[in-house]
Amino acid sequence: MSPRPDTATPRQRGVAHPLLTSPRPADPAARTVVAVHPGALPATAWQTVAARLPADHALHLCDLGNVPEYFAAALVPTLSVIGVRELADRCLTELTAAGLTDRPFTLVGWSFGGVVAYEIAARLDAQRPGDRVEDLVVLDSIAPVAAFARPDEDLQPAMLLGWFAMYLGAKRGRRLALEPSALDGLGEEDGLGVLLTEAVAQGLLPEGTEHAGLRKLYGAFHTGLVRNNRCTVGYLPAPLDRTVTVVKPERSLLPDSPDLGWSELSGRPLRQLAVPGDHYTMLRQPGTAQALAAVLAGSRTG
Amino acid sequence: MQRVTAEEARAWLVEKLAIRLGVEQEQIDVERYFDEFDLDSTEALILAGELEKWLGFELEATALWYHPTIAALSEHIAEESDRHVAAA
Repeated sequence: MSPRPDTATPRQRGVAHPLLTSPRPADPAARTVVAVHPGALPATAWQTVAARLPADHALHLCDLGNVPEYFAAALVPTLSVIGVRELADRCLTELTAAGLTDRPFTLVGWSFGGVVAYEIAARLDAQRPGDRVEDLVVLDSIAPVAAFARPDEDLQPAMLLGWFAMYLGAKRGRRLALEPSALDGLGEEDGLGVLLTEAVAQGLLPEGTEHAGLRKLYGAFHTGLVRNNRCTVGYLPAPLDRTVTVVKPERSLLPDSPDLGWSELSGRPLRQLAVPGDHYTMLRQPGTAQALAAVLAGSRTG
Repeated sequence: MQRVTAEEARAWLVEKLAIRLGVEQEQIDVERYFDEFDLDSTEALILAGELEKWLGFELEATALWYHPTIAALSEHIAEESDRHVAAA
């Protein structure tokens, strides 16, 4: 049994989690792949990809969820947020201190992590164009371009509920199957009612789960999304003189946008890869993870 | 709004947690840290939403941080309940 805590002080949870984690033991000769993880789901999601990289590649993770100000802003919507440039600064400081920017490397970002990865590449390119980041790969990231810069109030419930359905499936370990029009025209409350009925019927949530419970989970999900939106306010970068590789799953955040806006930021022709799965499970599906590992390991010759 | 005592809050939490975990209520250790139960973050948030509906008020986001066991959270809930009833 755990010792009784002193209720006057918060539980000590040890040292803060590091922003950068590297494989142990470190192999100085390994080719470096740096991944920027957006939080929301555990960084262990990358394990399936990491296991499929060639033996001479090492995956290093920058987990934005371990940046205290970024993490806290997903819990408390009134907190000020840390912007994309500051997040990139933090990552670069860690990567530089670890010696990972001394040699060329592949840089990949998942979801919002792709936006931060772009800014990291921009900073390194500004020093020596194309010299350090050999390849920049974004995984279902929405480009920080004017076309996708939306105020929070313009985020449509039907779209967010669809994303939430994917997120819930990822958290519960199985896909929540919905008819394509299941959420059309519904507001948050009615849409959550549909999702609750389906999630219970399909075994993702136990019988008896209350609407108020799912509403709380959706609230946390929504606050995290709005946090990411707030982080990108005012961030409209210039294009880079490089190729950006865009990996887009079958059930993308923006299924109707072929390039997710990255054509505007890729000074050279975009590379695109379509993979199975959805936004939240794309790293974990073995077939998709295999394709991603091949892109990360071999993209410099592609 | 009904005043909720620490005993009532504790009973509610034990019952709901036992159902979620599929164990007998007697097996729920009220001094154990919440994050040591086999409860993922999704289930914890859903339980928090159901708790707030039962209480009739929202708990602050840091409640589980400062009161990380059933026993400690129940005492906190009773204090918050008193405050809300008095303010109503």
